[in-house]
Amino acid sequence: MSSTNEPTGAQKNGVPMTGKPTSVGQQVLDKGAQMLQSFKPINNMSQHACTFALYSQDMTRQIETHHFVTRVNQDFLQAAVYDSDDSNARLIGVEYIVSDAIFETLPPEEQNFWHSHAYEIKSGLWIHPRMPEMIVMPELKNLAKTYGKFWCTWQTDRGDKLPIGPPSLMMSPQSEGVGVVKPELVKKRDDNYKLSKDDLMKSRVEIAEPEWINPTADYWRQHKKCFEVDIESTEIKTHTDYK
Amino acid sequence: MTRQVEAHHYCGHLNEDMRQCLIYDRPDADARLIGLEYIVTEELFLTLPDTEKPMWHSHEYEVKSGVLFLPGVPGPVERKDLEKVAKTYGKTIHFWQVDRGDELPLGLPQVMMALTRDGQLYPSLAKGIVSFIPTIGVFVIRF
Repeated sequence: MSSTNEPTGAQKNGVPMTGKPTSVGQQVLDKGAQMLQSFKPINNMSQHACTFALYSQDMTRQIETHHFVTRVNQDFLQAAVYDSDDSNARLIGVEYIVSDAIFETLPPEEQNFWHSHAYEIKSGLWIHPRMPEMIVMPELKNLAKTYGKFWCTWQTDRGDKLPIGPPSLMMSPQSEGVGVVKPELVKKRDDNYKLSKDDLMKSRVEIAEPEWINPTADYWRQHKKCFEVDIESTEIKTHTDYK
Repeated sequence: MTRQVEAHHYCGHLNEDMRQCLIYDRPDADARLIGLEYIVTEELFLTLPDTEKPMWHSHEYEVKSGVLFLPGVPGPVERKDLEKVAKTYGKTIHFWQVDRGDELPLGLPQVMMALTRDGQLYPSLAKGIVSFIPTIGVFVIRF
């Protein structure tokens, strides 16, 4: 799982890495800048969460995600999402997380782009690696009532060596149908962090179910189809196609 | 419609030929994460499919015109790094239109194009772009 410093030709999660290893000269430049510059927004990232997401245009394509989260205020979080927790992890997208109070203020067309988090948290799919459950429990109780909007910009799961194509809208794991995460994906993650999703589920029984999950979120559950973001070849514009 | 966005990039090297950046609207602890950018050398850019290339932009103009700079870094050091950046291509995606007053990240992502010539856009790319936002990039380098 950990990254290596091999020259070009190295693989990561089975995908060949493009580009030469970072040169000493560049590393010196970077270290110099690091000493002189200020990184306040980055330093404000306070949580690492690991969970799973599904491509809305094809929910059989499922990925393990690593969220580096900043809590902006009581109702809003923003996360940079990576495909692993190594220093060589690829930045694959951004997720925004809002409280149910904020979610209810969004127009329905906007709500369609968001997904609920209750199942993902209660089932033990969403974890904070290396953090004791007791410490994260207050945060989990808060997150269980939130909704997320996650755009994926680099489809490393299909072997893309560079970020190609329009962004993909991602959906969250759910308990039935196409929302169920493949057991082998979960096992691989659980083995890596030496934990068990089922054990976590038991310890999270005390997390209250939201009284109501807005059905306008998790679009595919009501409509049995979902979104694909497309780019037209003649003009540069993005629009959604309802599949 | 031309809106101007000041964008603060926090970048890391994936390897010698590629950087990935988080873009914030201010350099403050409570800044909003508004987008991201991938930056590759020309060598990697040329490996992209032709349908993909229009979503990328060259950095040559931004660097040479001085709108792109490294805050706090001494001139000679800055120059060395910017020499490399001038020859790169970027794919910038914004998720949050803060400049139009959006308090939340609404709607679809936007692919951002950069300034390429004084007062001009690539004509073929400008046609039909839903929202064109010339970006003034404030470039910050890390690890």
